[in-house]
Amino acid sequence: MNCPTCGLDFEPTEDLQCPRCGASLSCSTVTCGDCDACEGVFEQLRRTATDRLRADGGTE
Amino acid sequence: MEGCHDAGCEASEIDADSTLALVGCPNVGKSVVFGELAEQYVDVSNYPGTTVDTTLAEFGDYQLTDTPGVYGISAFNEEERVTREIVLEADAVVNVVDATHLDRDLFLTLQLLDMGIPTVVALNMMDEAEAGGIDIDVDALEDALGVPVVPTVAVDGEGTDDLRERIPEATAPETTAVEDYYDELPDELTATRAEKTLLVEGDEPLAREVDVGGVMADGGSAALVEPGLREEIYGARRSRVQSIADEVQIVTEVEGGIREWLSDLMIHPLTGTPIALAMLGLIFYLIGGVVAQRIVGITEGDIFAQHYNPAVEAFVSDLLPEAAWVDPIEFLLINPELGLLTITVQYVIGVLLPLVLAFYLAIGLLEDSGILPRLAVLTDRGLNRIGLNGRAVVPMIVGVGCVTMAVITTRMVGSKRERLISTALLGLAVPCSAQIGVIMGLLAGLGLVWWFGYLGVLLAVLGIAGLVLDRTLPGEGQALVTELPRLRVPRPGNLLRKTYNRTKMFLREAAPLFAATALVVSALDYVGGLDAIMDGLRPLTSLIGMPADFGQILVLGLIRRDFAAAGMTDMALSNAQIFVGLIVITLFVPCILTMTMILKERGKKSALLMWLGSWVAAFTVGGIAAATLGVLGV
Repeated sequence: MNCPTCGLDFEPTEDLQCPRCGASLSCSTVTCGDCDACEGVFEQLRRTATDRLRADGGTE
Repeated sequence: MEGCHDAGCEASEIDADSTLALVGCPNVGKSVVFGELAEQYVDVSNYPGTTVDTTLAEFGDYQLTDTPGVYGISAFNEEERVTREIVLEADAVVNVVDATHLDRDLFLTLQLLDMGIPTVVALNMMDEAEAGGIDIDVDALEDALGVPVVPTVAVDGEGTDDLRERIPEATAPETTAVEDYYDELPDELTATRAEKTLLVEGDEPLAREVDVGGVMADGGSAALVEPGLREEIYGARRSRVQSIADEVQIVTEVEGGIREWLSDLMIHPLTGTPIALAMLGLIFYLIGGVVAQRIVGITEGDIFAQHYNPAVEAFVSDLLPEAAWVDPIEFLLINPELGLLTITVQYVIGVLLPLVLAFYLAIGLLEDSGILPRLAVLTDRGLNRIGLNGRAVVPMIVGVGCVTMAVITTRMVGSKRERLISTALLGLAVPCSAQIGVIMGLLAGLGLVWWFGYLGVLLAVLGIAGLVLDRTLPGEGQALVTELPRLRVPRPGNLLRKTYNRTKMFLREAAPLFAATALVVSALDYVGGLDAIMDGLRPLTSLIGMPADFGQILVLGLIRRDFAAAGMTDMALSNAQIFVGLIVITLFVPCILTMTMILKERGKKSALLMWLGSWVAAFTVGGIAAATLGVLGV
């Protein structure tokens, strides 16, 4: 995926952090079409839900 | 600095033994530091990507180079390629680091040090770091990096004397963590530490050079190392960055404050859209209303029309002898349509200069305050549909004031493809403020329905033309990659100086082009070419249901769009004819000044295609409008 901050093309890992500029990405800033960090649909759902919970001030 | 000008020096003008490059992430203040060190002004804005080219100056024994902002030394885009070349050639580097973004900017610092580039770090924006609750132990950072670190607030000149003194101490640690990866490179490779570091990071241009040089045994492949190695090295460097940042800075939570609140409001679609519309309305009122109508009314209508032009005409007539051969010369110099010494000067000084000054001032305000990138984010999604990204909002805003100026600002929209689309849309369907003034006056007499109808047709043409261009031009639209800078109160000194410099550059470039255009048009007029053009337009005027006299309006429109609109005020036309006529002259070819600028910015082929395309669009849409109104019985 391309980092929306610095444009680096990198393979997203668990924490979705750009290795160059350090920008922390999330499922609310990057669409699934631009990111292939998840193994399948269930992981996509888990990540999206976790991200939404974090944004609302909740925990995993 | 002898021989250099405001925008920098030519390399040949500099007599220096060593080269020093200013390198840093976008919008960290490199150009301000450059200005302080070189004691000269370069364009500075609160917007990533202000420096798109390099600027040179003499600084002591060094040739100092200001480079485009990059997040790392690599070759993923044009800015990175330019900066990478300069860094590889430089004897030393001043790495400007934003103290409020230590964890982001130290990646580049560590990469430079891994490459063995002698470096001094200018830890800039210390005032903003302090205000943001960030306390940095500068000595600890210096120890951790192993190179001089100088705290600065470059916009106030703080710390730049220390920076000057410490530049000769530029150094790099003798060993690097990346050295472990050098074993991955071919044994027979002869390369510097900088080159080896970039090669293990998968730098393709360098790998190709090595291949061409015949050093690589199994040639043919651009990559010398395993594909995943770059991410491994980058990941390890990011861990080192995080470790240093955690060690040297203490961050205390502070209230976001009014700036954060305003920033959030500006990029949220629900609140940002009305704020943006209000700001654009204000700018439009100031530029379109106050400057274009009132100030230009004084400069053009009073100073030039009443005083300057009559005086020059009298002077030239007195000066030239009474002879037949003098007639064409006198016509070229002082004819009432586009005389070189009268109307041309009036256009450039009396019309364009006040508008240009006002536009640069308004754009400078938007840039320096940090509002411009927020407008880009807000409009990005809508503009994506017509092959553009959020940056194109700037030329579109400027275009409603003056399309000629807007064509220049298309330089900032991204790729060549996007510049072409935005220029074509500007030339086709964006009326300038002078024209809008006359058009509003004409439509006011018809009623509000006609005004909305006119706007609807223009927006439809804009959307359809954008879609067609997006689907037919080769390549793909570039995503908006921009980091939002902080909202700041613009510094009046920088704003005025920037406006002055940009205006001067504009006049220097544009005035000779306008003069040449005026001579050609006047020569055509003198030999009767313009009358012949008017006769040739008769089939087209009848196609859109307009009287033959409308040909004269079109000829005026070839020179200036507002002339065409103004010319219509004297014609006896029905409501439908006024409506169709206004649509046609809005979509008709851009004025001579705009065409000159399109020619300069986009080249002959694009300019010709846009010019011809405007004819087709104007008469096609005008014909459809006339036929529709006819069917409706209006």
